[in-house]
Amino acid sequence: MIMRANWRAALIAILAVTGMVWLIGGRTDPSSIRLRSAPAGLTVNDGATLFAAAGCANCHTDRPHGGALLAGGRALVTSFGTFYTPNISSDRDFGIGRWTDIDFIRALRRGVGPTGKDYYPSFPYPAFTQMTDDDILAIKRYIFSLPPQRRADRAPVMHFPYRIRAGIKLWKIIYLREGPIEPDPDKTKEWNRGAYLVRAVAHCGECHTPRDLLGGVETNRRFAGANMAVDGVKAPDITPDPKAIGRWSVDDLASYLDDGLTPSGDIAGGAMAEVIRGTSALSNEDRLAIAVFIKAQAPIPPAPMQKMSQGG
Amino acid sequence: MMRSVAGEKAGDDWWPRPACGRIDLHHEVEGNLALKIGVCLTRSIVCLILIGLIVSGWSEPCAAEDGLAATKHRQTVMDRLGDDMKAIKRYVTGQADQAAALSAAQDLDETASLVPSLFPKGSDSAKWPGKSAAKPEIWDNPDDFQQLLQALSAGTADLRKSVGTGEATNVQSSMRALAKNACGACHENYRGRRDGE
Ligand code: HEC
Ligand code: HEC
Repeated sequence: MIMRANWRAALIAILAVTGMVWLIGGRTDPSSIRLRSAPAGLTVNDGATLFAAAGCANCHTDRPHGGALLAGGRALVTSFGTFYTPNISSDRDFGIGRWTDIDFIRALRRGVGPTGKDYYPSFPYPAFTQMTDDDILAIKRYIFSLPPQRRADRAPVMHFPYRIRAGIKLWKIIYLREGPIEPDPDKTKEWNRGAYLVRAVAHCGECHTPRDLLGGVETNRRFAGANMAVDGVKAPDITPDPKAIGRWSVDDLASYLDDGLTPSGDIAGGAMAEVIRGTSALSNEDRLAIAVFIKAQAPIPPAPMQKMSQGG
Repeated sequence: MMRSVAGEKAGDDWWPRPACGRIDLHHEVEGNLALKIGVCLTRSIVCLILIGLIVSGWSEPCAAEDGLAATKHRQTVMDRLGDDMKAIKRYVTGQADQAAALSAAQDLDETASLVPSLFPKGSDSAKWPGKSAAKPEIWDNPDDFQQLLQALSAGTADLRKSVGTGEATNVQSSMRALAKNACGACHENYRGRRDGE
């Protein structure tokens, strides 16, 4: 209880600072986003693959209740509150059909809407920000090729003090590193492709990396396993530690991302099954690149409480 | 005259003396009867209580133990399916021969036919946290679950056939279809984690 009270006091202080930041800094100026490169010839098909690997449809479709593709409404229950994902179909009234390319890039790169609204990081823009403009726009083109859905958005139900969106501005100052990702010239092309897919697109760390009190990922325990923000289910340690996936070969991991079959004969379930639906749309080379990158991470033993077991 | 006394004595001998023992014996018989009725009544009551316990209280832990046993059994069967899948995958990646894959595919197909019987009520993760990973939603969506069970039996039959043809690409696509449309699709919605809260 005491910790909670302190925690609230700290947050109120943070909000006060945020208020100042907001007053001084003003709203994000839409014209400050510039396309880094003219969108090159990426096809709707490329967009479809990226869209699948990024899992946009997983969150923005209320699959548990048979909702239409991208019509939103899926409830994401977190300790900060319950989000109902917005409609991001191409509908001009209910979806994002009126959004310009700049609007779309700004949302994924900075987590800011066309009217200046800050998005909660439950929308994984801290990962998507690392995508290239080309890839972001390829996704937009694909979304706009899908049928529009007429379904009104529902506001999130947040606990105090997270209800106040202005707090997100400060959160971004602390945690948001705007992309796109720069390739590491010391690493192979394959490693860099893997890094891009893991960090920017498939956002593996959003589930597998533990978070600190403010919901930022703990950068020194990347991929060491975590209770996921959504539903609190455990996403296991996927570093090459012997207690994690040290015994998996690169091929084992690449093929797991295709069919979900683990070296022990188990088949992925839960959120990971949804992720695999996306990664199975990638090419074999891309899946191998992801595996090469993940297997090149520092091994971190799973947290002691985290005894992983699964089955029946 | 003394004889008569003796006779009296004999008569006395003949006539059962109203001895304390005898009177006590008589009393004892009467006491026993009361006791017997008492014991019988007590036993009946105890019996009734026991029957009551068995019917109400004891049957509860018994059914619950069944749920746990069913969970354990389910996990054993699932592990066996996993071992078979592993063996077939070794064939796809060139680490095992067709004969090994074929016997695994047969076992897979036969073992999979047990799966519809592996989900009795009361074997869910809400009842057995940390032990069962079968989400309670299974019993809320019987039609959907039934469809997944059908996808499983169709998928294992198809895989068995593909392994029979000896074409690695056939086997791979059958295995992928089974893993995604049956196993993966079911695990996605209906399998939680035993370590999750
Ligand atoms: C982990 C779940 C999740 C994933 C994956 C996800 N989103 Fe979202 N998205 C959200 C949530 C939650 C919000 C609402 C945030 C808020 O209310 O502040 C959101 C908001 C948005 C918005 C703003 C919509 C509006 O009406 O203002 C857009 C656009 C968007 N997402 C696009 C995408 C795209 C494109 C992808 C895939 C590249 C994607 N999202 C993947 C959860 C997700
Ligand atoms: C939406 C959350 C989420 C995302 C994103 C995600 N995972 Fe997972 N992952 C999970 C969960 C939950 C599990 C446990 C799966 C199960 O219960 O079968 C898991 C399991 C795994 C496993 C199996 C580990 C084991 O020991 O069995 C691997 C490997 C893995 N994930 C790799 C990845 C990679 C690589 C990515 C990015 C391409 C990724 N995950 C993205 C949630 C996620």
